[in-house]
Amino acid sequence: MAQEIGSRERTLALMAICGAALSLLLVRSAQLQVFDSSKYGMLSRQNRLRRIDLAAPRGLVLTADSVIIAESRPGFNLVLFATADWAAPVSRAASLLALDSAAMFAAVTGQRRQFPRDPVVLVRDLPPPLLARIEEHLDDLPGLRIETASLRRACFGPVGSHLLGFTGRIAVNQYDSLRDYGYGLDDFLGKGSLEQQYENILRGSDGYELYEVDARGRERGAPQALEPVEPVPGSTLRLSIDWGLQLAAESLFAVGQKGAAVAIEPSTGRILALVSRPNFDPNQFATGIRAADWNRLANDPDFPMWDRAVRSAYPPGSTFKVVTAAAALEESLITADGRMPRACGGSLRIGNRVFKCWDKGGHGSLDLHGAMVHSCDVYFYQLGLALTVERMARWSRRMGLGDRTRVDLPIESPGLVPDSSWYRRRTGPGSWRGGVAANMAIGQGELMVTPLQLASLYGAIGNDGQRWKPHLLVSAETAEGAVFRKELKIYDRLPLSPATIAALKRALADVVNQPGGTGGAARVAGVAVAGKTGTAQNPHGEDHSWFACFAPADRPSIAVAVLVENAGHGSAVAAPIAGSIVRTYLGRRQPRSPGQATLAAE
Amino acid sequence: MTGGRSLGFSRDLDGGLLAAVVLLSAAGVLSVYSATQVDQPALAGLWQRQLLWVALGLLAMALGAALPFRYWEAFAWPLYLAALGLLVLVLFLPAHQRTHRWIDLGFFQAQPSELAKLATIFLLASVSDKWRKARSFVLRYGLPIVLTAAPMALVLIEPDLGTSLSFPVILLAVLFWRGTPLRDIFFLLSPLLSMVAVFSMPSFLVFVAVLFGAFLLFRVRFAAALPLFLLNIAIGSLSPWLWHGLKEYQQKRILIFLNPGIDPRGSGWHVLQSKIAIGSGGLAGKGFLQGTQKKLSFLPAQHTDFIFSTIGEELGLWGVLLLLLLYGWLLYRGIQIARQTRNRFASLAATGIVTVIGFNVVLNIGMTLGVMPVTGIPLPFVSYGGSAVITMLAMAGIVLGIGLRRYEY
Ligand SMILES: [Zn+2]
Repeated sequence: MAQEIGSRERTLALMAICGAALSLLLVRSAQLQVFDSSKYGMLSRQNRLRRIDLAAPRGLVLTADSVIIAESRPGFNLVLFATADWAAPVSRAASLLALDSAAMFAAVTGQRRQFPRDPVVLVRDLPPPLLARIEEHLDDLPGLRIETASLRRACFGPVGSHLLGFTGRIAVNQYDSLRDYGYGLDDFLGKGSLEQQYENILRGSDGYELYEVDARGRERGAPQALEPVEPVPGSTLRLSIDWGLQLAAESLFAVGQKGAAVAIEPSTGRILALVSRPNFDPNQFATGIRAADWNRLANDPDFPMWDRAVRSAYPPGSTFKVVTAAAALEESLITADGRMPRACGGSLRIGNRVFKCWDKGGHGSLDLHGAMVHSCDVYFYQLGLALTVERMARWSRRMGLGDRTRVDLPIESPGLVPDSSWYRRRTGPGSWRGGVAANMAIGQGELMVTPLQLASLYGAIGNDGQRWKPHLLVSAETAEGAVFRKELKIYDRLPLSPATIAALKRALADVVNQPGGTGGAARVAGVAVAGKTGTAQNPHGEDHSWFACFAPADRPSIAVAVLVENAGHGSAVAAPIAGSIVRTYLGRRQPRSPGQATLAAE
Repeated sequence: MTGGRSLGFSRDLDGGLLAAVVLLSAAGVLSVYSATQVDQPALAGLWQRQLLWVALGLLAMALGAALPFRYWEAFAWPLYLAALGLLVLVLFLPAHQRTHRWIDLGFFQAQPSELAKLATIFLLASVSDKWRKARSFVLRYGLPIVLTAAPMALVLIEPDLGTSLSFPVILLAVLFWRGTPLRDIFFLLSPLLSMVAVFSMPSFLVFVAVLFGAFLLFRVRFAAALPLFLLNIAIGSLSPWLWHGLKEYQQKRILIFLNPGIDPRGSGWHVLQSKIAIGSGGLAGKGFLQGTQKKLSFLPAQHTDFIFSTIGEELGLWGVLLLLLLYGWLLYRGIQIARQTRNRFASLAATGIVTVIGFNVVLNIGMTLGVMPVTGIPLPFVSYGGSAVITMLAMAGIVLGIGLRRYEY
């Protein structure tokens, strides 16, 4: 048994601890107040220590093919430090630069009202001639200073803007919560997409230098006693994006065409291209966006700032038939070669409503394979009635719809998978059942998916049910090149049997490659593309055009989803774009093999 | 000597402790007065409110002294559970400055963590004495640890890292004072040391050497030493894993907490300004109300957490010495009361309170001198703030009350 400490020893020990702690405080105080007192006394007498921030350059963004798509460049700002007697130097600077001094005064008083001590940036990113003029006269401008800033440059302007995002000035209401994290009032912050998602990686940390200034606010150099704190540059982001493919995909959209395209590598989840049109130029934000530019962007009826690839959800149209078919096969409602009780005569009557097939002439009696290849709506109406809304909703969710893909972007739409309780809440109990199920089976109605979700789903089918989480970041490395973060590679499995997946893959390949298949426009010479067209009914205008595919059909190395708004049938507009994306990607990668050539030659 | 409460009142009242507390509170009002003599209208008149807080605090002190300590022991559990309830409640109240520390009572903002500290002291004093000789390790150490960890965790997620540190210190003080063998205290602490030491190879080797030294010193049998050793290594190797599980900004917060110098715009700047103020005060100080650094109000908290820097600037090393002597005297008297008190619960409670006061003094002054992490811990009895002043004076009153009844069993 170990000895308990006696009462006397305890008392002495506790007193000794207290005494020692207080003595150490006294010693430390004496160190500051006696030994270093001249140094601190001097600092306090001159007192006007001015802190000059040393901006850390923001990290690079590199693509998989090592193209720099965002970098930092130095810029020079004219900054007001003095908190008193600033009117004369500011108006002098304004006249030197031929700028409106009233506007400058308003900016200073405006900011000072809220943040009386923070420096005010008078002019941002001075062009070289003005910079030279100011530097010449800096001695006559007490309280003003040229400060270097790190400015963001999107190297390709609007191309890939929705992928990259932009950096913008910290909003005044954000500043209060960000200053604890080392942000200054005048700092820029990633806003939207990757710039926002990986702000902590890209940002680096600013340093500072302390200068003494005299009573008039002029600098007299750094005091010896205080060393500058060097800035730490931001780290580099390496993306999965194939920039060649991204450029090609963007060029496939006509000017004024609205839509999105997503390309994924199904065996890893790496996103190869992410296009949303129309786009915008992130460089407009580099020095703080002008009000007129902002109004133009914000009021544009085409919403160029909106990322249609991940934030917009549309009815999937016939691309959804893979889900309907998979659900029916898994629920054993049909077999791959079984036929529906009613042959397609161009329409189907449900209750007192007539549901049309897209082909007025009718398709006759089809099995599942034929119904997929010809996209026969009447076949799928009957499948939907047999499945019910509830079961279709369940299988949609199991296949990843109605839920975010958790891609590494800050905002993502989950889409929408309505089930029977959703419909009850919305329309009340009633006679919606039959019609809604028939419509849902062909991807119309309230069901919504994002282009990213669809690309991920088709990639998973092509990849034999293994679905990799889509992602953009491959690695992050410090400015010195040390990798400190790797891509997150995780997957789950679609809950489908191998037989179901094989049937779907066969049908999708024939959609594109069989004569009379609806996806013929996506054919690529030498490669078996497997995909599905879709037309999303749009109550507000022309229908939206969809195409989703993967290629090569047996072991895909790319999956693509393309959506073009208000472009009518998927087979006419979206399919050729998807085909071109596949062609661009595979054309560069692999020589054509003779076996595949015969398949496509037909 | 045991019975006459009314008779013994004046004789057993610890005048030294009372004097130290009153003098410190008076110094606090004067310092707040000086620290708020700046051209910021929001700060004008705060010293009058501080005077009000001190007056209310002295009432709380009288009340604390008047109530027999048996009440505290009898109500230890309800008080503790109520404090936990308030700590949970405060998390659901709207945040002030991005933290959930305060309950707004309109005229006054109460900090439930202050009550939690006191409640934890009472409960630990009560249960750990009962379980002192328990054969089961769980009763002897496990439950006290759990009872400490619960409020600590709740305070941590407010988040209030600084205040949460008081809880393990309370536990340590109570365990120490109840006569826990040094050996047990060492092995209770060693996993924590292991978690810190594991971050660098040399420090880890030193830790292993210390561990083996302890085995030899305390003559731990091999059969006990081996599992202890493995446990220490296992817990130590957990910490890098925990560390990497934190988000980058969380890691950064902790690093800045430990070393404010790496945060250029935030706390590092404040510590530098505080050091300039104190250092420029020199031996004799610039004189009451004459602080030049103070007037420029570089420190937003110069009347609260950083009030010591105003004192150091205006009153110099002599003023600092006087202040430290007052605190030293207060701690000395408190420990004497704890030693003389015959009731074990009361003695442990007094120790817990005295330790918390001392810990806060060291943490706060150390922060302004740039040798301790920057925490939101106020300087006891001196910093501006109703919740802290009243709780501190009430705590002092409880120690005085224990002193009054030191001969009761
Ligand atoms: Zn048909």
